[in-house]
Amino acid sequence: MKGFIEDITWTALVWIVVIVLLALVLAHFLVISLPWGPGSIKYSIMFSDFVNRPYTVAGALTYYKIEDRQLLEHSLESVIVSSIERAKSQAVIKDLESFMKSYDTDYQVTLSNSNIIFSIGKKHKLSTEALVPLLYKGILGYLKVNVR
Amino acid sequence: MRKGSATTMGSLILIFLLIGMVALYANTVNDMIEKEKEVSLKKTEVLKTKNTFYLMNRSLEITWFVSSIQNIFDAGETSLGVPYWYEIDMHGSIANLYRPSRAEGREDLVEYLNENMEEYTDSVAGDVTLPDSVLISISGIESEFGYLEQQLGTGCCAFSDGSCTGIITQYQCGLADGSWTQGYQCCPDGQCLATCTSETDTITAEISQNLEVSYVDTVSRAVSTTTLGIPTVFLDMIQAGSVFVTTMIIFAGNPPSYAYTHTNKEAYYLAVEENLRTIATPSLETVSPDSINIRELGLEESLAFVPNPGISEYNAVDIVPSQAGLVLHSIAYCIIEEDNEGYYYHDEAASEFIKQPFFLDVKSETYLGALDCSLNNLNFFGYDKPMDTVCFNNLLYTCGTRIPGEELSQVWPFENCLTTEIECDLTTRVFAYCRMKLCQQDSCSGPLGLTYTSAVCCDEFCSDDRGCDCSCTDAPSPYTIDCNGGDPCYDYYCNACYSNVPSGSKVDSCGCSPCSARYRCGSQCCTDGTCYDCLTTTTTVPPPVCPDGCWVSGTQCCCYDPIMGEICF
Repeated sequence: MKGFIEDITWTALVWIVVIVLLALVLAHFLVISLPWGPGSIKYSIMFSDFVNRPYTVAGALTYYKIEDRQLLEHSLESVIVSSIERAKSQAVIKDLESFMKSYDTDYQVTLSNSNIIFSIGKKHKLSTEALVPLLYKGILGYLKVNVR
Repeated sequence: MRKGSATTMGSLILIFLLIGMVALYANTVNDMIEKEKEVSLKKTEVLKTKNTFYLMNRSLEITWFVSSIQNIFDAGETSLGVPYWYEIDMHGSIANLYRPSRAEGREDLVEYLNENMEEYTDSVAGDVTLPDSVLISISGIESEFGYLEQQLGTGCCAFSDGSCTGIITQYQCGLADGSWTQGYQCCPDGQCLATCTSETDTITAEISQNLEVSYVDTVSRAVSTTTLGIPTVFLDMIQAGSVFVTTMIIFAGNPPSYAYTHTNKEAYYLAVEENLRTIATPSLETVSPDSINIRELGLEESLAFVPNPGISEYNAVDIVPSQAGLVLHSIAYCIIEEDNEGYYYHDEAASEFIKQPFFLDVKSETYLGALDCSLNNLNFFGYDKPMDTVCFNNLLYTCGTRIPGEELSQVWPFENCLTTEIECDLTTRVFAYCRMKLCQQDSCSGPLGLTYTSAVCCDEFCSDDRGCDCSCTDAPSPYTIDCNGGDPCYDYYCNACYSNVPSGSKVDSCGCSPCSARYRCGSQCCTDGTCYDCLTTTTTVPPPVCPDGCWVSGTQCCCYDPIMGEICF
């Protein structure tokens, strides 16, 4: 029976190693497969959606019409004269607030040139931002949309 | 070799193999995760670039829309770049005459819009770095404007009652504003032309640019184009502008319309403006009354003093033949606007946007002879007030009145009554005949060498046969001779102390009631302070002086207008 004990020890050791390795692989698999795992596809989609969301809202806003003009025209003309009053665009704020509420999320929409012309909503610290540049005869302004 | 050593080796090899495989698996999976992260980040980068490109492109559409609207407003505000469509310069010559036909107006408008648009496009071209490090580059901007006139449904028949026996094809027709209208066209032979009706003309614009948006390593690049169709009736406004120019030619060719016969300049300005309106309004109202309105029609005017031949800044030979008199410098303006709600106009001076229709501001600048002293000798006029100006011996004199160009003016230089029988009272700053002085003369020779009958002379100076008990020597001034009954004789020449002339009234034109022969003021009658020689002057109508390109027809000038045809005035 010489060598029998050694055979048993090595066999057991192999099994132990196999079990440990399987446990590691299983654990690794589970970690990367979890919905909140760093490598999950869902994580990737959520991230993309998170980044893309303000652009989706901004894209919709570019076609939003308030009274007799589109929001972008209101915005550009307000940027040109640095005032929503002098651009005859006072209705923008109320209508825009109403529009943004339909998204049921935290938001902030800001119109600015070198100064802030108007800003509605409150920016969430986990929000992302979309910028709509507004250009006219050397004047540059932005319609900034922050959405969580 | 010891017994069991092979098993040990096999087990060790197996363990190492297992560990190696697991390590390889773990490494592969980790690589995959890292690449997934990289893909996510790249995807984010691509999305940000693509979205910014989309938003920038959309923003540029609005930029070009607002710019095109302002460009059209510019065209109207600057009169298509022609400051004065009709211009008579200081030498009396026609310096400019712009009276476009509809086709010419369309070409000129499109040319103006294309050239002026560069002011808007040039300032937009260039690079912009956004706060989130996205770089936007705009280059190669090209714009092309066009004008589509209203299209009428000629060549086809439309039967709303379905009575057509031919082939009826329902069709859709695109309108200028991008909407569609349903209609029917009757095609008896199957070859009927497509027709389209729209209520207005359309200014079209196509603006393209190279747009490039880059973020980190991602670049989105394309040539994007904005196409606009802006409803308008601009050509109707241009046509009205041409009609306005025609009326200005008529106005300038009709000297009585701006002849200076008034007691003060304000009355003159009002009368001239009213005369212009009388000529222009009926013509303008006939041009597309349903689509355009006349917002404003008026004159900015001033009088220039031409006191002495050879010293005026004007070459007055052409404007005032005697080179002494008054020149009317006027800028006539006519603002025509479309009859619709309009668009937002950027008032740069006030820094605001105002909603208003497209408009066309047409102006005309003319220097016209308002007063020629060679035709008005011894006639008094009023600049600031009645009787402060007089034509005498082909020159124009003032009595303390300040007229623009006064440094050149001829202030009355004579020793009043001793020399000319006309005196300048510097206290009241008016001229008057030296009536008291005449009364003291034995003979009845009148002022300035004119011969009067004794009766007229005496009438003039309150002789007893007119019931006045005043004597000339008692009269304190030419204006306040006391008459019988105490009525003041304050009329300039014809004292209002006659029994049949109401106190305070003036005597009308020469020879007309109540200016009878008996009650003439010497040889003068008065009309608004201006005297006309009743006895020696025969009214004759000189042949009209017609503008260039016109001809004399009887007592009228006739001109050919490309729009209105032959016009006589």
